[in-house]
Amino acid sequence: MTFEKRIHMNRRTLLRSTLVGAAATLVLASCSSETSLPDGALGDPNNAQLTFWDNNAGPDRTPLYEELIRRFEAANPGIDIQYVGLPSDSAQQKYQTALAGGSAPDLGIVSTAYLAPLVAQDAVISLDDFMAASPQRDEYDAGILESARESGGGEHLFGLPYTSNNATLWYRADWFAEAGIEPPDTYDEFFEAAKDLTDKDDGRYGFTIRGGAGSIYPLLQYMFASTGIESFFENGESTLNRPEMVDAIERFAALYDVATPTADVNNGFPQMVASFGGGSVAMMQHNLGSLSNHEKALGDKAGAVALPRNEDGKRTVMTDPFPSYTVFKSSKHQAAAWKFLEFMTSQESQAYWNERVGQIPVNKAARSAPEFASMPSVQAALAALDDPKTVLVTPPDYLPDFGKIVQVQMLGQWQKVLIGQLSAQDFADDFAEKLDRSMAKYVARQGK
Amino acid sequence: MTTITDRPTTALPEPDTTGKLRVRPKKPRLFSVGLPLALYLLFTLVPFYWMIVFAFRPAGSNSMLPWPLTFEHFDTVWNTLGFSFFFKNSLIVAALSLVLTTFVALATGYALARFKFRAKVPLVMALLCSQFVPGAMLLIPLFQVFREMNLVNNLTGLIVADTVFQLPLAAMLMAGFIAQIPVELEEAAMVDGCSRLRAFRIIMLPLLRPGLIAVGSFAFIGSWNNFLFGLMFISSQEKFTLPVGLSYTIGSYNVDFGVLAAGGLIAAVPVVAVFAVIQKYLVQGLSAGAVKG
Repeated sequence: MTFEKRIHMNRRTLLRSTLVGAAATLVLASCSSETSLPDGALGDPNNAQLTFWDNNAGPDRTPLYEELIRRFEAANPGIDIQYVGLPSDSAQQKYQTALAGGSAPDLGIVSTAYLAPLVAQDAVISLDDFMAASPQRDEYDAGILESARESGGGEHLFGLPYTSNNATLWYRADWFAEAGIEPPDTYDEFFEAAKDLTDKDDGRYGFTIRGGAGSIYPLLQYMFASTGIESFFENGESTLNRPEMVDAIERFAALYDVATPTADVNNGFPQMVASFGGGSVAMMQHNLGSLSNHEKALGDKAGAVALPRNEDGKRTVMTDPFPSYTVFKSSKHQAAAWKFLEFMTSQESQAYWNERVGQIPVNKAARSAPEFASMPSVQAALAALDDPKTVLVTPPDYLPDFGKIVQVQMLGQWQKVLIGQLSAQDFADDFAEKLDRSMAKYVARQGK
Repeated sequence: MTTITDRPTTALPEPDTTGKLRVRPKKPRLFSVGLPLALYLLFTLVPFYWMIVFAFRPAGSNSMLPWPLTFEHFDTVWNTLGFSFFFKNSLIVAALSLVLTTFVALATGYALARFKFRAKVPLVMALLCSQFVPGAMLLIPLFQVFREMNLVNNLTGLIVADTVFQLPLAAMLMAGFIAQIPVELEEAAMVDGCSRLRAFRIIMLPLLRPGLIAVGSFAFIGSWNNFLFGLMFISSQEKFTLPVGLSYTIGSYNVDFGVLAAGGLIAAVPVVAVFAVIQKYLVQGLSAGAVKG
């Protein structure tokens, strides 16, 4: 082959490559979703195989993620998402084992309740730079982002939340109507209604108190909502054993076995939902996430209001642990992972996911979707969030011991309070002491 | 071979006519035996009844009977939740784990029961002590070993893990069972010209059948029900096993009792079937491991 021919061939090859490249770029640009990435974002944003772990898989939610993944992959043909659903109660263990074994996913959903240990292990990346470069940054609810920041230690955003799941008082609208009572707006009204709607002979109870697994979070939500105390720590000391907190615990525990079923002492979420849906209790405290259970069991007989106001007329809302997307440090495709997260928190994806599970989108633009207007539970939670008098309390999830204290150590103590073996004062003192000790350890570790 | 033609007969005592020593026919002990057994049976069957009612009645129904009959929950778990994959994976893992566990336990048990060797006591101690270690403790070391061997997210890894975890108990059971069979039978076969392997195959194996069935069935059921390893070592949806799939039906906010019950029934059927077939061998197999003759 002569030199001229080679040049000619090379020109032809070059031209062909350029045309093919230009066409491919045009196709990709027309398909892929809009995004902006910070300098140095790791990996090709348009070509990657991503492993995505969902920490709360199930027949209700998995199909929603799968549909959103289908939409994303159609818009971004170079990115392939491998969805792995995990059972909610074992997800944290799976993350920890995978990290220890060196096979963490590219990205995953984690609860703010166990985000802090992942941050402490340096397992997840800060999303601040991605967020700063994102065209969607102003669409996110600033309060919820701040709460996510606090859960991860306060300085950086390690998890991008996509839903807010506020504590809610679910009630039997038909029983309240029969009795001529309005759903409670204050705690005095709540206690009154719990007693009025109890008829033990008829197998009806005014409330179901959670005594089994997961019972401390709702208890804390009640304690803050009814006392109006605005923070877990004041002047470096836990507020949980303040006299008003102790009174609140006593009053709440006094409902047990009087206006609640006796079995409540061992009841976790499934039993509580079964009692409410089965028609033996008039009210239950849980977040928005149980909407589909109540709809299936009770239809429009289930009503929802935000947790009542305290004596000052203020509503103090302690945020529930909420899920957020995290990108793992070991991932070689962080740029593509962020692109996926942006898609999942876009207005359309947010409306699609949240309106189907009945929760509040973090993307505020999505809240105008018409489906939300017909959901009283979401409207009640939104009204509470929008009320200028509402105070948000973020639990100290950043304390590495917090999850253990709440989920394990205080559970048995609370059951003892319910059956009268431990006083509210001793319970509160013990709780406060554990938190103080955990805070002291945290401060020492931070070198503050 | 000697044929017994005349059985020695023992004269039976004459029936007592005075009535003083007559043995009265036993009355059915309704209150001391029947009632507790009935209560126990009721207690055992309630969860199964609950599963059947929830699995076959439509969502939202409060009927105490599985009526009107619906298969929607089975359709959901099998087709939407992926139980068709999970079931197949569980079957592969449990069947191969059964074969591996039984085979290795047979070899180990034979060595323990028939040979004298210096490390025998330490080996038995090690087998016993390994029972004190919970599965969760083994996770991270096993995970790292499996990662090096490319066995993470691989059903082979799961089979190996299940086998390793079940082997100590299986080997001890098998050793007890083999020790119960007189060694003279093997020796007689070897005197007649059999090799040890042939003597084992034609004399011991048929006699070991109840033990093999007991050990094999426990290996199958242990592997079938193992949630922890299935969850930890597998990271692809399509490779998960049934216990992991079953846990999908309980979300942190949503529990679909119909789907949960349908999944539970699917998972329970093979175990119940295995027990139904092998239950007559179980007591024999287990007691052989418990008492040395």
